[in-house]
Amino acid sequence: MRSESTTGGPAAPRAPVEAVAEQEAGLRALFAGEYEAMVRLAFVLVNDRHDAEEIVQDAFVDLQARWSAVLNPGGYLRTAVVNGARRRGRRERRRSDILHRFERTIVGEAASIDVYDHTLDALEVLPERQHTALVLAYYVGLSSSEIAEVLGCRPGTAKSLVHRGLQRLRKEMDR
Amino acid sequence: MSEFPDAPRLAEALQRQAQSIQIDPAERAAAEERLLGGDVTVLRLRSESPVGPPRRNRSLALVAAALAIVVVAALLPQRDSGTGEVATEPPESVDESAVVLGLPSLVPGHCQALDGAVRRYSVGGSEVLVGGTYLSAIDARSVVVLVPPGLPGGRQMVLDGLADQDVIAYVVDAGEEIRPVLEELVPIACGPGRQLVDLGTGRASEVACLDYGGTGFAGFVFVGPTQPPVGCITKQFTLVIDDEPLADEPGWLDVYGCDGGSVFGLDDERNVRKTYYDCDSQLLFTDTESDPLESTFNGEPLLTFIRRNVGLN
Repeated sequence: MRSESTTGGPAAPRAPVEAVAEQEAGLRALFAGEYEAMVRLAFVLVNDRHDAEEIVQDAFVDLQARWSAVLNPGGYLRTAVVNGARRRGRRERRRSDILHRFERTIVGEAASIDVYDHTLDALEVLPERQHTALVLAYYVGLSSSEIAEVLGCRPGTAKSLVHRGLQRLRKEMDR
Repeated sequence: MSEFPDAPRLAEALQRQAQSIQIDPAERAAAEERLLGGDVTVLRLRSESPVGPPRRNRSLALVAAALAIVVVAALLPQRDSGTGEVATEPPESVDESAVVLGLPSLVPGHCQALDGAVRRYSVGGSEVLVGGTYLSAIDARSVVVLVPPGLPGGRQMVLDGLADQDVIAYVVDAGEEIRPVLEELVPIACGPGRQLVDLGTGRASEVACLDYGGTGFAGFVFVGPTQPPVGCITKQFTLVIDDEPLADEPGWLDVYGCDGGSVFGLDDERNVRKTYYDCDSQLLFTDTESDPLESTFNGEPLLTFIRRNVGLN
């Protein structure tokens, strides 16, 4: 994503106009490729579409401001979305969100929906950090090391969060 | 990642949840234009609440208020967290060597009630501040002492203070990794079959109180928000377990005491909060609505305890 010198020596300073154009192109490509996925990730974390959109857009704004210093824009964006969702989630996790989800369920799949909604309801009860770890593990498909990187903890902690989250999930589902 | 039999169902449920929303192409295009068109202000405020001030503005107002509080607090002298008076001497009723350690007394077989007050006193001609909420009994003979930053000769002072007491002291300097100490100690308190809860990134500078006493279960850790500046001590805490902050909002909780099954404190509006932990699930439950008149602490009515130890009316 970064421009490099083709001569093997230090990269010559780019003209401001060139740097801005490169940033815009990179940001535009990232937006095209990741916006929808990030909104869905944020939605899974906060259960509110408008909040999810705002979180993702804030993350893009944040990324835009730090673009020149970010080595992995995609990873930075995902971490910013998760952190934004966690901040939002702590403030605004509401029971009513669960009710909203029932309104969004797809008619005609009642039998399976019950099972999945039951799972999601149980997930909603989990502590926020366990909830986030499970989403990263089972929705995004991250490894323990990758989850740790996003959450800013050790891999052992991430693994533990997932393990305990699953245990708690099972307990809640058995109720 | 796990043997959990419902994991595929969880993955499927999350996929369905994610796919249950429709991304509006027009909204997406507008967001892209706002972002790449440079109108960041509009983008940031696009989700304004239809009623009341914009969320962003409310957040800014909260941040401004918090900063104001921090500035005012920094200008104020250190206060005893219980009485509101500037503490210059240890309470007469408490043994001075114990005060040095922030330890009112050692009661065999049970974790101590720690009052959390910040006290000033003289050690070797130097005035030092010591908070009270960073020592906990592991069992009748073992204690962990967190030496706060900025305490001159703190480690030796603690060891000297404990020299004539029949305990094994594990002294941890602020900033020092505390996990090895805990891993060594926890089997003492927890016995076979118990495991140390994952302490995550908790380091000594953050750990204020370790409670493994009484229950014989792996307990919980109080983590301060940041490395405290010299002299401030970790007076304010967030209750956590499994790295999960449980009382970070609406205000910090001043922890005044804990025992084998509960901890109580006052929030920033001086309301009594009492938190219970479930040993089986290793979870804390904060009950902000509990009636202090009906609550007990160490078998004593909570309000009586508070009046006696904290000075709250």
